Amino acid sequence: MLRFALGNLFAKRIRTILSLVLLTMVLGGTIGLISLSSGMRGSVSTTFMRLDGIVVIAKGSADPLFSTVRSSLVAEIRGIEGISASTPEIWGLVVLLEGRSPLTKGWFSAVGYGGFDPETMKQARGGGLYGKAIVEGRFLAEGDADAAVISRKLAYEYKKGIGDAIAVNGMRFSVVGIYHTGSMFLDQSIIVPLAKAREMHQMREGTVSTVYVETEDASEGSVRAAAARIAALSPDIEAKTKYDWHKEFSAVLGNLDAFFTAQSAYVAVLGIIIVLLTMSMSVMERKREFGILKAVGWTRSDVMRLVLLESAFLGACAGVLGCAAGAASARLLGEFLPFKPLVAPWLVSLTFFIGVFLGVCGGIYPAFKAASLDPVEAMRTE
Amino acid sequence: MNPESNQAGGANPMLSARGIEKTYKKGSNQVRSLRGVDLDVARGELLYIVGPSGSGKSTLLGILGALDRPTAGTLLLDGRDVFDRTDRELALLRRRKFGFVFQAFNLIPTLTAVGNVLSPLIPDGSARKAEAEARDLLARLGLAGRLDHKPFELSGGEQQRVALARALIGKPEILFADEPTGELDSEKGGEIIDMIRALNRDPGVTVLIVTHALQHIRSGDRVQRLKDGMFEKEA
Repeated sequence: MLRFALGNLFAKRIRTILSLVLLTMVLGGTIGLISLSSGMRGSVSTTFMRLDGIVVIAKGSADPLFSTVRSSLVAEIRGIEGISASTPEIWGLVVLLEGRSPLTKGWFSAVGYGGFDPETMKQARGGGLYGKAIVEGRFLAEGDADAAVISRKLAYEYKKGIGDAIAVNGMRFSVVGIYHTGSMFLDQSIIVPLAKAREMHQMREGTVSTVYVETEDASEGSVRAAAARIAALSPDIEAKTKYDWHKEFSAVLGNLDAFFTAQSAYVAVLGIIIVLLTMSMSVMERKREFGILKAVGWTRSDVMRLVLLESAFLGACAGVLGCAAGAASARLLGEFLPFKPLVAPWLVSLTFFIGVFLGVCGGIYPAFKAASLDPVEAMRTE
Repeated sequence: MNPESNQAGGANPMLSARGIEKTYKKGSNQVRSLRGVDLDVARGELLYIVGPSGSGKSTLLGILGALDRPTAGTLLLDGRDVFDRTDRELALLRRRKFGFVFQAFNLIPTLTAVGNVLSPLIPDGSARKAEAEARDLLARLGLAGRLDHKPFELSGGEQQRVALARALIGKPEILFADEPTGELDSEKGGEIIDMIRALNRDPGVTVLIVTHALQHIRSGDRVQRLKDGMFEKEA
């Protein structure tokens, strides 16, 4: 039966190939989009899991870039029991890098600057997030006036090495260190002394963007308890742990997932229509053939099985090709994106089974039509 | 020709039709294609059903072969009502007990000669096992060199021999042939009829042939004449 079904499917090669191309496009497109979502989710997870401590931010600020808190919090927080590090940070957006907007290199090329205090940053484990990630040169030290630490990605893109000068928002810095975290978000920052960041940001004395805090005990329970105590210091601040950040971004990605779910439903309907049209045309053209088969003893269920086998095979082929096309396009997109789209094995298996499911669903009506043909009438069809 | 009674099946006919009627709609008109046909066919018999175009020959053969249900009347096969069965049971009856040869060959265009012969056996999964038998059958019908040819690569006579092999692969008890020589020249038509006759002699397949090619009918053959949906009375 399988051999017969395959032969029938490829008897009209052009039509089958066109249907396969369309089904491959819809399945491949979906697998590509889901792999982008998975890749982005993976990248966000990697980023937040690197944050050991707590970020104290102005209440309601979505991002450190839009936050201002009083700098006296640094000492107040340091005084809380169990806190091992409390250091101020000033964050801003790099509008001009080497005399032009970083966005000229693409949407994912936005660059931020972070003003750090080397003295208090030393309290953080391993010298803090960026201090731990140094791959060349050194992190900021006390007394650095115009030093900058840049990511390996930025060093590559702007062709900068240790000792080179770099112009950030019109101010000149000397590159003293290069770091690499592997996160698409973290590797877009230029770290400069706090005083220089204050000058660039035009932030008044006595204020900073955020306070970075670490606890002596890095367990989730201790970090959360410390965050609650910090938040109680002032009604206009929030103390966010990596778990809070992760939850917030997951909610954003949840909206993306809802979009993909809607997209998948649309793809399913489209796929079923493609199979339905293909198989309906095939059944219409082969009325006489089904009449002959019924005359020589095929039952209704035998005919249904044949047509469903053909449509399921069409869907399975599209599933395999869709997986290949989706994986290839994800890989290609990965060359241009700051994160790698993730084509998980479960996604490949699911796409294959969705292909078969679409094939079977789209084949039900034509199979029913073929099975219902009267053999005598059908054999009269020219 | 030797027209006989239409109830020549003896005391226990293999196939027995009584009062078969068939009415169908053609546009806004009702057409009575068969008007109460009675017929008995004995096991191992060779019966010709002849008559002019439109007399209802093919319709009758379709009903006798369980391809179509009558509007009225009964058909018994070995004493059991044929149309008492469900559509599925009728299909299985056709697969297991009947063989068909049609005027227009009715081969599956995507299958080879061997594939066509095996096509009735595909659903129950016995096609692969019967492949050697199908090749042997085709070889015996003179198609040893055409086994893997598709229908469009075969002549009319060759296609009809493939159709005959397809009808025989399930070892039928009754062979129904609807104008088997209609698309063939006289010589090729004669060859097909000879092959069918041979099957009737050995292994004794019961044969019903609908035709208007009277030249193939021989003395001693049982012939039933159909006219306007009824068998003509004996002269």
